[in-house]
Amino acid sequence: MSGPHPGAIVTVPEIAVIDEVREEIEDVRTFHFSFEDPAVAERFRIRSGQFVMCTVFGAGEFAVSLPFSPEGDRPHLSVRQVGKVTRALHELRAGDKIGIRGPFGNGFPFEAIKGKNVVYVAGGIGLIPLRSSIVHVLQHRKDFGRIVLIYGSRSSKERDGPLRGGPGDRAGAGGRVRPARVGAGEQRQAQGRGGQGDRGPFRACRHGRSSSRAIIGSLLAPDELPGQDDHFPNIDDEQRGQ
Amino acid sequence: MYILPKTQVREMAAALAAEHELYGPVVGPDGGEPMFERIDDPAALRLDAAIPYNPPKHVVFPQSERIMSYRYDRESREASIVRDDLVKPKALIGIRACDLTGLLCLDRFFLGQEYVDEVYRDHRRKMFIVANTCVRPFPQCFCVCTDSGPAPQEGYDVALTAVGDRYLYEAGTAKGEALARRLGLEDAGPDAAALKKRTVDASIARFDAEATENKAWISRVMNRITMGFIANDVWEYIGDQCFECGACSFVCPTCSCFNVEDVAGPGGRADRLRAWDSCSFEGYTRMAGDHNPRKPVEDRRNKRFFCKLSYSQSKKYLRPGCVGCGRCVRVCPGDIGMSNVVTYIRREITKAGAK
Repeated sequence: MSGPHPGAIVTVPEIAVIDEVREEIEDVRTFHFSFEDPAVAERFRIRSGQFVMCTVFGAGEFAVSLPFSPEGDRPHLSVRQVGKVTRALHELRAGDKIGIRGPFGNGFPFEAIKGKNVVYVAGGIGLIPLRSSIVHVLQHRKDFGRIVLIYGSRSSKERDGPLRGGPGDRAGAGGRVRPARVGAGEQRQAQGRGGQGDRGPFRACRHGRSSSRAIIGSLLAPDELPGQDDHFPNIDDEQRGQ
Repeated sequence: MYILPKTQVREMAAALAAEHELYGPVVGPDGGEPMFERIDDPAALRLDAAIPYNPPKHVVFPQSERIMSYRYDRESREASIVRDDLVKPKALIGIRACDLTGLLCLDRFFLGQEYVDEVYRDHRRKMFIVANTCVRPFPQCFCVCTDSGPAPQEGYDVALTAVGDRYLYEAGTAKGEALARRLGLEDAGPDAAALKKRTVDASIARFDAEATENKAWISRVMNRITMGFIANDVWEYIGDQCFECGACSFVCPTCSCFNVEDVAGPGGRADRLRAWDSCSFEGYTRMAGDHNPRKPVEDRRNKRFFCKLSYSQSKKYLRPGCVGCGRCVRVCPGDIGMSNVVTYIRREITKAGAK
């Protein structure tokens, strides 16, 4: 295999076993998996923010983001059933097999944002692709400044789902993740809290609808807004067209 | 450089056929459009034919192909995946400069970026390429506007340039040299390079009078598309004329979008098929759950031209994504082939300048 991703499974999937299936919220299940071939498992390295192509035998293949951290986390996929292939995935039980190829895409550039505050903005199941990054940041807490997660969900049950268990769990993070309710009117106020002194320049990572950018805009002061060189994966129309 | 008498072309093809599957331009028994196809009999090769109706894209990236098969038995939970065997090396004879440039674009898409597509690589492996300089343009051509002709610049083992009853044979690789020696070709002498240059210059000079169907002065339009300076109503105007038939993508030497589908058979067996896709199809951007972020055709149409002409794409292909073959203009029932779209956008620039 050539190219800068020596461990990536590019064209033909590798077989993986589903070790455990967990119900999350309505229509969403988490599938823990491990590769059948230990040598493949050894080579398979991911970066937060990447995705894989998951084959459900007999049904097809779909792209799915990786919610687990590159280190010290169990490989899993969290998938909402929305179409033919994801419905077929939801039929599978522990012991069933799937195909995985990847990982593909760019990871979040943690080196470039070292020492910065990190703001995550996501809505609903859009949090899943960010989970890997959030867990990574919590695992390397001293390398980053403040970590803010702005998250919208239809219910509190949905809110707690994606980070439950594992290193990203609120309890698991040693109480370092603190939920806060912020009404629209309080947004600017919330942003002012803490004073200018203890806030370094923000870097924001985003996933999901473009309206998230407007939310970031309403929460950050103009000089904190991410610029062209900041890390907005997929925000550019040009990139999205490919 | 060597001399290849036109009478010896068949011998060259036969020599290559020993170790390769042959592909080249052919014309049916009743005439009609030349096609770039698999050739069993080297005598069928027609190097003098006009630019083929289809580009050679299908040789390396078939319209539809099985890329693997698998079997999964839910009872025993046995899974196996089988990748199809390697194909025989291929020789492309008589590929035009535009189409060779298109092939190099496909290389950069499938092989030259972060990942290597193994299926494409197997098609491309050990390929022998004999390119053919267009010593006169065809009516649809505008390769001089896209820097992809009329003479091939790179990526060939042999480049032929017709001069009277013979070809100037230029070896681009050691493989090309070896074939010349094997065929016992005569050296073309010290004036060959100058003769080739005169021939190519004469071809370029003919574009004004003979390549009359299309002109596409794309550089200003590239700038415009890159900067996003094109008004929505221009894209709507273009989108309104699109029949969403996908023909432009299918005849484009550089279009590389595909869809992958698993076709299930009995006993848990399935074939994974890869087939050409087109951004003009509504289903192209439709996601699971039926959400379609680019449902209006103009939203997908502008992407096609973005893909061909924007700077960000050019950085990936190391050139514009259009090679000036003019095929999309020929096949488009809505008159929105590349050169027309370039004209609409340039007209808009002129109007804006006049304001």
